[in-house]
Amino acid sequence: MSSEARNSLSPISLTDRSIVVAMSGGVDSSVAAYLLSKTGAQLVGVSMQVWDYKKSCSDNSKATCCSPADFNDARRVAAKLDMPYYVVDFEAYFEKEVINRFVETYQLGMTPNPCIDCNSRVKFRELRERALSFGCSHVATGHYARIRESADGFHLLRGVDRDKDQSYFLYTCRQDELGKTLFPIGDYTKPQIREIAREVGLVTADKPESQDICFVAGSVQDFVAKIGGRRQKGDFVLKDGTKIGEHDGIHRFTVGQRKGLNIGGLAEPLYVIDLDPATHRVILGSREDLKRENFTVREMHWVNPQLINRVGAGASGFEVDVIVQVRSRHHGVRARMKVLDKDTCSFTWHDEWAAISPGQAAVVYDLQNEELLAGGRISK
Amino acid sequence: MIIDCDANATYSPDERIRGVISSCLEDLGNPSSLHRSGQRARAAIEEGRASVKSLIGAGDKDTVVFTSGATEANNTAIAAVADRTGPILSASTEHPCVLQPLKRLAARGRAVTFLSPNSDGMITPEALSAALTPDTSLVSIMAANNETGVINPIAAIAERVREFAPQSLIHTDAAQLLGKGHVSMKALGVDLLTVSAHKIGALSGTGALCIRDGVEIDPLLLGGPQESKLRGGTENVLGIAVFGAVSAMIMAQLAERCEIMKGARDLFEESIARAIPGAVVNGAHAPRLPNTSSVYIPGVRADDLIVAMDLERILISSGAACTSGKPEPSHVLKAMGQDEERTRSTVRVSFRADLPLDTVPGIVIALTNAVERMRQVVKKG
Repeated sequence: MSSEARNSLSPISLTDRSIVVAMSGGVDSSVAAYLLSKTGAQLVGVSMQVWDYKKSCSDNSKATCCSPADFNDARRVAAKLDMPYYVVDFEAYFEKEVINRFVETYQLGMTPNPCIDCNSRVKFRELRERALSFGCSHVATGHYARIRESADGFHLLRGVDRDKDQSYFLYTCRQDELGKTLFPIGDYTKPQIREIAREVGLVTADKPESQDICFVAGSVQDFVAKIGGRRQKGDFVLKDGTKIGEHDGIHRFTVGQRKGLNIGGLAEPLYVIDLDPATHRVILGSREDLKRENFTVREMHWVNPQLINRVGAGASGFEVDVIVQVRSRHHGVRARMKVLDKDTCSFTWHDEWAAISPGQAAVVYDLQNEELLAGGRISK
Repeated sequence: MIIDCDANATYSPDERIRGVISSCLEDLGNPSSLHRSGQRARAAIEEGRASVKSLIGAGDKDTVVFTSGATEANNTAIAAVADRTGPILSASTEHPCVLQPLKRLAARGRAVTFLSPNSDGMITPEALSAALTPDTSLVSIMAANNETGVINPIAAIAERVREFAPQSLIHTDAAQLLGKGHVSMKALGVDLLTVSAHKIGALSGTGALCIRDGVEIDPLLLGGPQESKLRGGTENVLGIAVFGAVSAMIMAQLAERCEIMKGARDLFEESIARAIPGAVVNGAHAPRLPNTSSVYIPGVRADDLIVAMDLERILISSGAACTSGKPEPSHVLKAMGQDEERTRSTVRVSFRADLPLDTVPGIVIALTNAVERMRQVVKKG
C-alpha cells in the first residue's frame, strides 16, 4: 500500500458533529454525502447490508439495492469525497424487524409498509446505535424530507419535491432522533439532485430509480409465498357470499386493489373490499363499497412538538382538521382527526375520500399539507 | 498517521523495497527468454529463490516453487495426494485455502478428518496420534494460526507421522510463522511447506511451496516448463524479486524483530488486562506468534470496534481478513469451543516489527475509550 493512499483519508476527530451518512449506492444518498462534505463536517459513510438476495431470488442481478455492485458504487462515491466508508451487517435485525413483519402482515390479510419499519427499527435505531458506537453524533440519509428547528422543538416537513417526498415513511421519528438526523437533499428536487451528481461527477448520477420495496426483486406476492411458505387457496366472493372464483392465497391481494383479479364478465369493475384470513376469502365489491365514513388508526406516533405536549399532558377527545395520507403514493385528503388517546385516533373524511388498506400507515399533515404532525397504522 | 496493527492480514511493505522494485522495473523480461533481458529476469528469480530458501531453512536439494500465493501453494500440496486413497488428517483451525480443497476431496469420497484443537487452539501430537492410521496419505497442519497466533508443535507432529504412517506426506502452512518465528524445513521435518510474500512485507500475489528432496508431486497449473516443470506460467518476476529481498532483510534481523513485536504485544496485553474489564486473550496458554493478540472483549461487537478504531486511524481486525463485508463468526474460535457471542466480540491485534513501543499506550487508550463508549450505548439501547 502506498503511503500516499494511506494518508489520503480526511482527518477524523470525534467531535460533536461527526456524521454517519447512510449510503445505499444510489444517487440520492450520494448527493447527500456530497452536500455534507462541502460543509466541512466529518463524515463516515455506511452501507447497511440488510438482505441476502439468494434467500428470495435466484438471480442476484435483479436485486434493486444493497447488492455488492451498489456497495461498490457507494464505496467509489465515498472515496471521491475522501470519506471513510464501511459496510455494516444488519441482516439479522432486518430479517426480524422488517422481513418477518412484512410477510406476516400480508398473511393476516393486511398491507404492510416495510420502509416505515426499516426507518423506525433499523435506520433510526440500529444505525443510530452504531453511529454512537463509532463516536458519531448524527445520522444523515438521502430522504426527501426536511427538518426545521423552532423554539418548541423539531418539525418534520415534506421534501420540496412533492413527487419524491418521503416524509410519509418517517412518521415514527422521535424528537430526540430528529434532533440528531440530517436530510441534506430535502430542499432540492430530484432533477436538481441528478444535476449536482453529474456536475460533481459522481458515478451514481444516472443510476435508475430504485424500486418500491428494496428487498423484493420480482413480485411481492411471489416473495411472500417463498419466504412465508405457500398459503392456502381460497374463494373470491361478493358481499352477499356468492362465490365467483378462486385465488391462490389472500397474501396476493390488497384492499382497494382492482387489477390482477382475473375476473371478468361483470358490468362494473370489481375491487377487493375486504380480506378474511380465517376463511381465506377475498371479498369483492364496487368502488363505493370501499368507502368508509370513518376509520381508526392505532399505534400513533406524535411528531409535531405541540401535539406531543398536548397528548403527553393527557389531553384526549379533541379534534383537529388535518390532511391525511393513507398510502405512500397518495396526495392526502382533508379529514377531521379525533384523538381518542395517545395511541389511537379516528378520522372522518371532510369531503373527498380515499380507499384505505388496513395495516398501511395513515400519516397526518397540517392543512397546508406541509408539516408532518403524526402517524399510525390503519386498524382493521 | 496510520497505526497498522493488522500485520497478519498484510504486512505492508516499507520504504526499503522501493529500490528493489525500481531496479526490477528497469528490465522486466520474460525469464524464459534466451536473450539478456530474459536472462537477467531469470537471475532475479534465482536470487529470490536462494534468499527464500535460506529464510525457510530449506536444504540445498529441496525445491522452492514460486506460486501466486499461499492459497495456490496449499492447493498444490493437497492436489499432490488427490490420486492416492489413504485418509487425510488436518485441523478445523486451518485457513480456508486448506479447508476448502480438503472438503472437496471429502465430498468426492475421500476420508478426511479435521482434528479439533485443545481449548487454547493448539493441535497436540497426542490428538494427532489418536487419529493416525498406517495408510494415512497426508497430514496438513498449519505452523501458526492466523487469527490466534497459536503455534502448533509441527516437529513433534511430524515425528509421530514418520513413526505411525511412514508413507504419509507431511505439509505445513507456514504463511503466518514466516518472519515472526524460526522456520526450518529441516527442523520441522516436513515434506511440503507453504509461505506467502505479503505476510512478511513483500508483495501480495506471490507465495511458494517448498518441496523436500525426494518428494515427487504433480503440478497444479499445467503449462510451460517453468519452476522445474512444477508450475506452468510466466513467473511473477517483480513479486519474486521483492520476496527474495525482503527474505534476506528478515534473515539478518529475525531475532531482533521478534523481540520488538513481542515487546509491543506483551505491553498491549498487560495494559488491556488492567484497562478493559473482562478482556481475555485467546490461546494465552499456548505458544504464540510474538506479534498476535486475539482478544475477547465482552459487550462489544468486534466489527463496530474495528470501525471505531479505524476512525482513530488504528487498523485492527476481527480475525481473518474478510472480503464480503458480511462477517461470519470465526471458525477458529468456534473450533476452540467458544460460543457465538464470544466469537463476535473478539478482535485481533497483530503488530509490526517497525511499530515504536511508545505507540502502544495510545492504542490501548483508543481501544479502551471505544469499548467504554460501546458498552454505554449497548446499556442505553
